Amino acid sequence: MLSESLESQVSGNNWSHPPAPMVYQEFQQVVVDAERWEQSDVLRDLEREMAVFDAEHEAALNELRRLYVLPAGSSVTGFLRKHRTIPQLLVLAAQQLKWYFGADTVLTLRAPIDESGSRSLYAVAMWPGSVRDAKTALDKFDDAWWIANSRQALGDLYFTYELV
Amino acid sequence: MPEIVTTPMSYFEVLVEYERPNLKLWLDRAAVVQALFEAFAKWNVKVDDVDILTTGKNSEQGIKFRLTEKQVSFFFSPAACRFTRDNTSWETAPETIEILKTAIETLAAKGEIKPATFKTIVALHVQLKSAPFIQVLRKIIPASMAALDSAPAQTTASVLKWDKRKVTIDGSGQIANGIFIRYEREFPASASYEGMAYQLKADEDGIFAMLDVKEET
Repeated sequence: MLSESLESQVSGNNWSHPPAPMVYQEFQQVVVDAERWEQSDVLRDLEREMAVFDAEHEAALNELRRLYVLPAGSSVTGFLRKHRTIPQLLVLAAQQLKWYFGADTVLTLRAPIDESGSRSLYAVAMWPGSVRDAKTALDKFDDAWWIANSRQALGDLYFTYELV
Repeated sequence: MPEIVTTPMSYFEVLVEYERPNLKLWLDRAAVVQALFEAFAKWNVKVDDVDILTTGKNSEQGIKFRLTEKQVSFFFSPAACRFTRDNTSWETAPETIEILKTAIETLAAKGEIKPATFKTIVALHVQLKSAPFIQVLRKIIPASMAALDSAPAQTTASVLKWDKRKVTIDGSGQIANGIFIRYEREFPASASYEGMAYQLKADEDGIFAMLDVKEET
């Protein structure tokens, strides 16, 4: 934020990338035929690809943590892991919510389980003002942005407000 | 009424400077590395968790151990060593002390060094659930600065330094609606680990009380 660079706000340890395998491991493997190597390459590519997807998802989650207050536990992160398009949508939505509710408004994510046993995600604007003003802000947000983008969420994401 | 906060991110760091650098730790360190490796075995250290750092200034080069399960790293060079732990809490403080103590005592015995000072850092990102973070930070804005503009301030940061202590309070750049609190204190080598923890906890309590926030229980 102001006084320090963002890097100084973390310890500097990156725990997400395991260290590279030791060199000697390459020489301890049994020699395999070409076909198996091919298969192994495919799997290795797949693993690499999945690792890239995971890294991208983790980056999107970190971006969300800067924009929304996430509850303790894994309800929201677990939901977002299963709905990979929603983090990006939430990043865009945050800009719009801040525009209509105000830059100081605190945005929160919740993923409760409903009566049917399924989980939905709620993006909640914590509103210190009147109900009428909150409704007006939410209506404007819906009309200007959410209606046009809601299809991407496939009915799993809701925007609302909570009076505080 | 204090604002209730949670702490989604935190870290603890200790920089231990030696009384005198021991240059043997550059050239003949195999026995020290082996001793540390064995001492860390109970926390599942693996060969791949040991890095040899050969870039940067001479003082930045050395050996780094990572205890991944505990999110601990321990680095030593000929002039100093550094211990860090991510996602720390006061509940895990006894375990942190045990690992730190193991690291320092092993290094001192096998590496023939004597700690001179312990420079400790605790950093927290505390998060408010509904009240805007600036509402809390407003308390630390000097009135004369706030008067510079009639518009409400959007954020602020403050750094205060004493002889052997420093406190930084800032808006968090890592989490939404968060406050970054970093407090540092230097202890002499004679200080006990428990005594340092007790003092750091008191420092944290003082900062929380000043900001009028309270950790969610």
